[in-house]
Amino acid sequence: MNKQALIQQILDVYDNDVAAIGRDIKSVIVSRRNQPAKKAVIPDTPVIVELKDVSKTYKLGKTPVTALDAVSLSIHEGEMVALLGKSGSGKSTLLHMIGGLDKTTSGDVIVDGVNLKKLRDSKLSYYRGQKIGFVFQSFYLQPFLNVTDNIEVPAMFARMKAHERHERSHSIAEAVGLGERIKSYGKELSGGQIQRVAIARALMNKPRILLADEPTGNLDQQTAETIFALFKKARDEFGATVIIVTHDEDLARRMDRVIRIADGKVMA
Amino acid sequence: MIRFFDALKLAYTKIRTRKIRLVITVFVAGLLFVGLTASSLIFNGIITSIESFSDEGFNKRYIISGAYTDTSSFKSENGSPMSNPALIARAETLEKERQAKRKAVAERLGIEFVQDESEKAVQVFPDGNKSLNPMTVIGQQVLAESDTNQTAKPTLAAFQKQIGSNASKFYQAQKIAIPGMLYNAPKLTPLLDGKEKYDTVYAGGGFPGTTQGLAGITDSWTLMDDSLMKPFLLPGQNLERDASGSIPIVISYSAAQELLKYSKLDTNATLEQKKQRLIDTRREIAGKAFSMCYRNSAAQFQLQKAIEQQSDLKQNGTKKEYKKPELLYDVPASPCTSPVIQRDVRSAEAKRLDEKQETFNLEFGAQKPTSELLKFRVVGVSPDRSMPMGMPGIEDIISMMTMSTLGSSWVSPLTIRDSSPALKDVFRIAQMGVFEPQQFYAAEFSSPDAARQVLKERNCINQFPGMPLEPGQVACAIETRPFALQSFGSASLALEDIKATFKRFQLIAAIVVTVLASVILMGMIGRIVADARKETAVFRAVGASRMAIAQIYITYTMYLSLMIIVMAFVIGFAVALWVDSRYSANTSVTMALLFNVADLGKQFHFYTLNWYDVGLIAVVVAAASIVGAMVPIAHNIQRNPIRDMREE
Repeated sequence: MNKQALIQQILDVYDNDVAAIGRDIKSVIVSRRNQPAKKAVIPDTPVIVELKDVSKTYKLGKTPVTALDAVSLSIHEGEMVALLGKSGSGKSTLLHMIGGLDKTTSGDVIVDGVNLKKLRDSKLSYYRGQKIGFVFQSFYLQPFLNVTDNIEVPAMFARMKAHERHERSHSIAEAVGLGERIKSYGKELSGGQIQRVAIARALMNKPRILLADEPTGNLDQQTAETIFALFKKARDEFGATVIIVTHDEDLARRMDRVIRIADGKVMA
Repeated sequence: MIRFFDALKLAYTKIRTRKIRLVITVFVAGLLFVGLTASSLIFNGIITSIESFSDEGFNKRYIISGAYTDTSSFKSENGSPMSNPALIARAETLEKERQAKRKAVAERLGIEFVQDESEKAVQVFPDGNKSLNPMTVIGQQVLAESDTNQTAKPTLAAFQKQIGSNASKFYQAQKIAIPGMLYNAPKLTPLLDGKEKYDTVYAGGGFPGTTQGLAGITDSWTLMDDSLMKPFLLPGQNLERDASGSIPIVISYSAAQELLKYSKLDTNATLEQKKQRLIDTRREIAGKAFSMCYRNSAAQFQLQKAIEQQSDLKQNGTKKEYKKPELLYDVPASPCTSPVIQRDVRSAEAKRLDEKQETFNLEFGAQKPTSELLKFRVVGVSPDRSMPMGMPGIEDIISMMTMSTLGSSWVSPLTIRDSSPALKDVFRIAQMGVFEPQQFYAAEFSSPDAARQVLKERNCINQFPGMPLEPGQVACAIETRPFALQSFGSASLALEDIKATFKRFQLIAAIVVTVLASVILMGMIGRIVADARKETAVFRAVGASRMAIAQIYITYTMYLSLMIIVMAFVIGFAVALWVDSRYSANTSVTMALLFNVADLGKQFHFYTLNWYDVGLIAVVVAAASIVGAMVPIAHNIQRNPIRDMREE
């Protein structure tokens, strides 16, 4: 067999395999999509988050843009909820409203019985520190602090005593699988490890609600699985209500409930 | 607010960002504070050193001197006695009478009367303006009359009245008249190796009181109370006039060098060489005798004539056209005597006429030629006074700060003034001493506070045209407050004023530096704050209040302040040490002389740490940092964290 024929044979085999793999993936995706949506099971727990006719309009240059349009929804304590929608649909805005980072143009956001609209800035800070845990897509770790210190940042703002803080941060680090890396700095960690630190940080003050904005957006499939497991653990072990913003259908399906958002509205 | 150590931890993370910019900012802002720190260290070093040297001299004596300066002649045309119409009219009247008398006497003696223009008491200028000539007999007489007629005079009684009752003792002092300001001024010529040199011109000419060497006596010699001189006596010396009648005198260092025939030290001489020279000078000059020839104006004129005749003879004697004078004088055969007649071929008639002319001159105020050998005994050495040309150097500034020691390089006891006609003539009061008062007084106090109070409450400023008074200052006036006061002897009182002035300067400099440093730091902090917008947003999301964010940046600002303070003190100290290494040696010698210290091991240092200043500089640095941080922090905490996160 000459050299050219050998190369041709290798390429044929490669093309057939790649095509086969592609076909397999496509069939899996199609079959998943065709599966009937998991029926939401709303737990028999008190409502912890309630949005009433919430609208948010902001200006993009001189043009007013409606990010949320008369959104009303309720989330129960201990629920794992996915806010699913395309980019620009208003899901992140909704998350920020619940987290007290942004204010409504109209309507009310009531969390744990408190209308956030009525809180002053200092009370809102306290609310964020004590009741909310945020996980961001880009992690936002402080590069000059080690894992322990990064995890402890919310506790610093909550004026938690040092020894109590260290005890808790170490236990959370263990829980998220970072027990061996507590002295490491961000540049010494993988993407998955960094997101674990971010989750541990969000859990530091034992929040009632864990808010995550595209938490697996920058991670590979395997790491994303691990991170999802951690959110589940947060709900099961720490009793947190988990609200995740995502456009990942697969991740959303695995949550207790999926709230679809399009053009600033909650879809039926 | 968050816990202090947490704020430190979070703020420290910002120090680790933008390191090059941080270093540049700290360096530039730090340099401004280096200036403040170095000036404080050096100034306090100078003050502490002066006080240390000063304590050995006047040793805690608190003395204030007061001198009256007649500034009226500067204030208006009519204020000047020289252009005072009444005095001019009086001079013209007296001149007429004198001329008539002179004519009559000339006729009686049978000599020709010639009006000497230089003897005219009133000068008339081409524009018709008239001026009194104080260098004439009538001019002197009119000025003396005017002085006598004044009701308010700068006397000891007036000084005592101005000072008040708190002083424990009063003293008088008198300076020699400035050359050129005295009518018929006498002359003092030093004798070296017992010889009088006629070809050397000894004359002052610099700023009054600054002539170097033996000639300095002509514009510096001052008479003082014994009590004021005693601290400056060399070991084994006293102020008594010994059997030879020698006059005890403190002389300038340069005059001592001249008397001892020491060659000038090289400008690069080491501290040891300078100290050794000082030790040698003090040892050798103590009790050393020297003489000065006093010649009154007429004797000086006679000598000058002899010198000129001899010079003319030497230069032209061999020339055909040279005509030898009928009466030819030679320079004196022995020091400080009259010129000798070398040749007298005058006719009997000429001799008779010359005698008549002399009689005529004596009748109208001319002096008889008189000379006297004044013997001196060196009892102390004082540094030379100098008036720096252009920008004064550090040593000049320190010298000026301590001008209150003896106030002169040449000092003798006041009691000698009336001991001989020659000394009376030397210490005659000039009738036009407008530049520097010849007489001054001193008052001693039992405590520095009493002296300071008088300096503060009873002082005045000699006000010249165009010189505005500062708030709280009072212009000197003969009727109310004649004497401008200053501390004398011990430098401690003078230093109080200098300290107060420095504090004012320091405060102004601190404000300027604070503003400049704030602007520089604002750039740095603004950049750090801008860089950390997203981090701030995350902190806000995890529960940080606006106050907590502000606290982190204020703590960061304090880190910057600390770095600037450390830099300011390290470099400031280095600068002060450099100045010390450069100037300490020379200044130590000057100060040892100035305050007549016995311990020549004593060093003048240019650095002393003053904790008040350290605190002030630290506060100023912190203030500059906080002011610089205010705008960026205020801007930052008002930001919407969501917008900052969205900008990613």
